[in-house]
Amino acid sequence: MGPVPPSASDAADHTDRLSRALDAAVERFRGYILGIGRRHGLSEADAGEIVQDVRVRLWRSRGDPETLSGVGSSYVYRVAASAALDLVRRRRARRTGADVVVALDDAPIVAEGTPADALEERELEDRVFRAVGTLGPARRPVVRMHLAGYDREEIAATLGWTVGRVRNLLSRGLADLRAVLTRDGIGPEGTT
Amino acid sequence: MNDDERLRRRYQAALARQPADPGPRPEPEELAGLAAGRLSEDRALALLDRVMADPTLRAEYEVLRATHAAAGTRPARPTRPAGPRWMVLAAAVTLAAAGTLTWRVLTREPIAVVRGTSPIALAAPADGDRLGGPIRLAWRAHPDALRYQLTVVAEDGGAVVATLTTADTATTLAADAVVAGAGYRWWVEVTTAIGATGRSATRRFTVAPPGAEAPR
Repeated sequence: MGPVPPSASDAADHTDRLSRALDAAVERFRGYILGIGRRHGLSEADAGEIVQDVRVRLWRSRGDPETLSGVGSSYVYRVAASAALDLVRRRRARRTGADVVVALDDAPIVAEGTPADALEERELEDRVFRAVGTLGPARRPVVRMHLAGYDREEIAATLGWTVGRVRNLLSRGLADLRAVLTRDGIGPEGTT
Repeated sequence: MNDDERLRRRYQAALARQPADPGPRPEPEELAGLAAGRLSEDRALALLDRVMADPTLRAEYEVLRATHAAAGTRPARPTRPAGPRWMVLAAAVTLAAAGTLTWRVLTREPIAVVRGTSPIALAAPADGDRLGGPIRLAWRAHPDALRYQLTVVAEDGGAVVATLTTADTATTLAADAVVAGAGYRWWVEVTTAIGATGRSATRRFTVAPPGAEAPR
């Protein structure tokens, strides 16, 4: 006797299970993206847009849900990478100020007191920013990442360096920065 | 608030006010290469310096970086294994998919720069075929393909009669895209996840006039 073909209800059940599995995996993926990126300004809307795109592409490109079981990691990677790239391209195509997401670990410093204090604080911020720009080319991007809120492990991962190398360059870079600030009349805590 | 925190907050406040760099912007594919750790060290440092000083570029970079990290594709360099955190996350995804999806860490060798990938092979029709009925063009899947770009041009004059960007490896031309009796050339370009591209050879076909012997 030959193999018994699956019934329609079996196929529907299989499709449901695969759909749930895909949804669960994609939802977790969304959590991972947010967990990684939110600290650096990635919005829930951006993460949601990427994840939704991944979900749609997986279904579209694979068509028959039966074949989802054959989806490999490299394929999922390509789909996710493509979705993120397309998001960036779309943003560039319809560039508006609202697209700019800037990460701040916490609320920025708000100068208390008079408008003159606020102006002075702003000037101080700009001098710190300009001082970073004077650092050497190997140390400057490391210091920028650090000051932008990335930890040493993230910097190391980005550059393919060891954490020790990052620590070394960052230490030297921050020392250089403080020397520049001191020469510029700004104290060790960024105060005039 | 300590010294380091003050510097950070002042830097970030100034960064948020920076205008976008008016110069040519790095391509999104290059930013993706940076996020995936696939650029040479010199290029990565130079690009990072620019990205971290431009709030718009930094926001774009973060989209790509977070996606790469979440997909378990942190830089895979010989000197440094992928962080265990990502491997754990990737393993959790695999379990969540009940064994139907495998979301594991890729261990691709880094390349120095984004550059061309291996060429793509066309499948059918054969070069010089005479075709009737719906014209279906097919090519071989490329292992690293993100998408394919099909181009069909008229042999007479070189006008582009069809272009298609797709993740599929075959398509059927619209009936009104070609003219009976005319000759056409076609090729496919592949783009990979890191933006590398490769192009197939060019093939030609002619469209059989109505009533002609049915081609195979």
